[in-house]
Amino acid sequence: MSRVLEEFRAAFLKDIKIYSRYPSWVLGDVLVAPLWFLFFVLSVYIFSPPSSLTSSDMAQTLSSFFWGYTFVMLFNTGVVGIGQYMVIEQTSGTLEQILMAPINRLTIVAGRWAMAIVTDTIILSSTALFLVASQHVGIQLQHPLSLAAVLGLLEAALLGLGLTFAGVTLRLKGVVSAINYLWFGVVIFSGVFFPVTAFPASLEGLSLILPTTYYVDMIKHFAVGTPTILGSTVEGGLLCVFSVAILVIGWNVFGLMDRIVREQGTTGTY
Amino acid sequence: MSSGLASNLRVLRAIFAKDLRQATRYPTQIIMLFALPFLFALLVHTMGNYVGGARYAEYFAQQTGTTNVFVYQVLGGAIWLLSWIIIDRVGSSLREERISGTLEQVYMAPVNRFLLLISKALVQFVTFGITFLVVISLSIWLFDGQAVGGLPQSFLVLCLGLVPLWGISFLFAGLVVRLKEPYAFINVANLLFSILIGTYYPITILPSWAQVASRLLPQTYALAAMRQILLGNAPLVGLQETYAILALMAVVYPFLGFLAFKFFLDRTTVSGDLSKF
Repeated sequence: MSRVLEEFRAAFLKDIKIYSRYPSWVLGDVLVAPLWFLFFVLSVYIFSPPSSLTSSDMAQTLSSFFWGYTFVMLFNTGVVGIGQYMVIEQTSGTLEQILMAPINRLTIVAGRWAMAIVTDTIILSSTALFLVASQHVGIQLQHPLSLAAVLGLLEAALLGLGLTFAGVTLRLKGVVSAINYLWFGVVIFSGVFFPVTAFPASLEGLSLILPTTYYVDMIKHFAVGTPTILGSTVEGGLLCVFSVAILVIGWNVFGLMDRIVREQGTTGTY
Repeated sequence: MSSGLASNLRVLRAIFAKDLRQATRYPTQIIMLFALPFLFALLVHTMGNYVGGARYAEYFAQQTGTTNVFVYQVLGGAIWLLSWIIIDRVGSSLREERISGTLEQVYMAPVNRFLLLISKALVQFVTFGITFLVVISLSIWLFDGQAVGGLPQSFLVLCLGLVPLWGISFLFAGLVVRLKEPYAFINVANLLFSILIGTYYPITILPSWAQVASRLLPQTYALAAMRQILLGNAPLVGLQETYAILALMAVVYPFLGFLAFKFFLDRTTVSGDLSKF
């Protein structure tokens, strides 16, 4: 156990070292998130009744957007970041060496995952500061501890999804586009920026079978106080099951793909 | 002179063939290019529907002057993504050469460097030209059949708008050569552009200082003119003025962009950092 922890620490330090080597990454993370948020808000503002930006309804909507956006950012840096990590190691020519090292398979992506949590904190803090400074949005946070628990479960699921994509990236080249499709599917159908009840009945059914819908639902419930779809107890139990299941699936997919590419000798191919 | 021209054309053809081969190696990315304008339009449209309720299209028309929400959004999304990809790809291709360890060799080759930069953008021009034709034509055909006649003229505006955009991308390519990690910088700039050009809204909703910055970008004029031609939207400036402004930018921006690129490249070459990342 202590060896695995030592590996995790080393992987995290390596990624921290790389990240801090490029100050423009930090600056970019601080600026990009508020800009994305502003871009979406302006794009949606055009559909709202005149002079509604100052109304309390709009403030409530923007606060809900922020928490939806929080989910998007975590999803993005977790799943996309870990998936792309494999591509970066492939193109740098270091993937084969990493996968041949006698280390726990989880260690390979753990550093990236831990880095994702650090960058998410920077990104979301800067976005929240931007929103508060803009004086149009007060960030609501009704149940911080429950929200933290949901975010913890979400991070475990994201690690599982990231492992799945990292594995698929090893086997199939050019998976980044597939991750983009997944991103759109999740953002549109999980009720990230609007409630799933806004969909027609047929699409609402699709939303309700997506695990991500319930993570978003619980985040908004504990942050803004929106009602949940199935009740907070049921959804809490569901999230525990989802997180464990996704993590186990990710672990196995990554292990399987790693084995296949080793046998085929295509680990470093891209 | 003619042999110089012939050799330059050979260089262009070789790099184009190489980049096209690499681009077509990942067909899912090409499909993504076609899908992205629709997916973003769908996302923004659904969000707008939620915020504006039953009268969302009416509120949209009050601000934009058209009820054809989807074509308006797809046009904006297509131009925005085109701008993003050209700026990102010209810079990123240099970064990728650097990571692959081939940048130094490429730049030591006895080839005109301006030509190298141009050729890096050529594949983007072709792939996006086709994407534009398919995406916009499909949207117009599905949602506003009468506007089909405006497609050739709008494509002409787009082509004219692409030239200064290349100039901007040269500046970013220079920054890629000089700075070791360009993505954050390019992302910030591309996002600023997406806000300033009025991707999903008219730039008149922006503060006046932001509108001044908007008017320095070729995408703003190209997008407004295309919306005018295809949807009959209120013009930003007249069509003749748009052509004149874009033509002026097409001369000035590539010139300034290449000067900036050369400045950064020379500094990097002197310090011996060309292949470092």
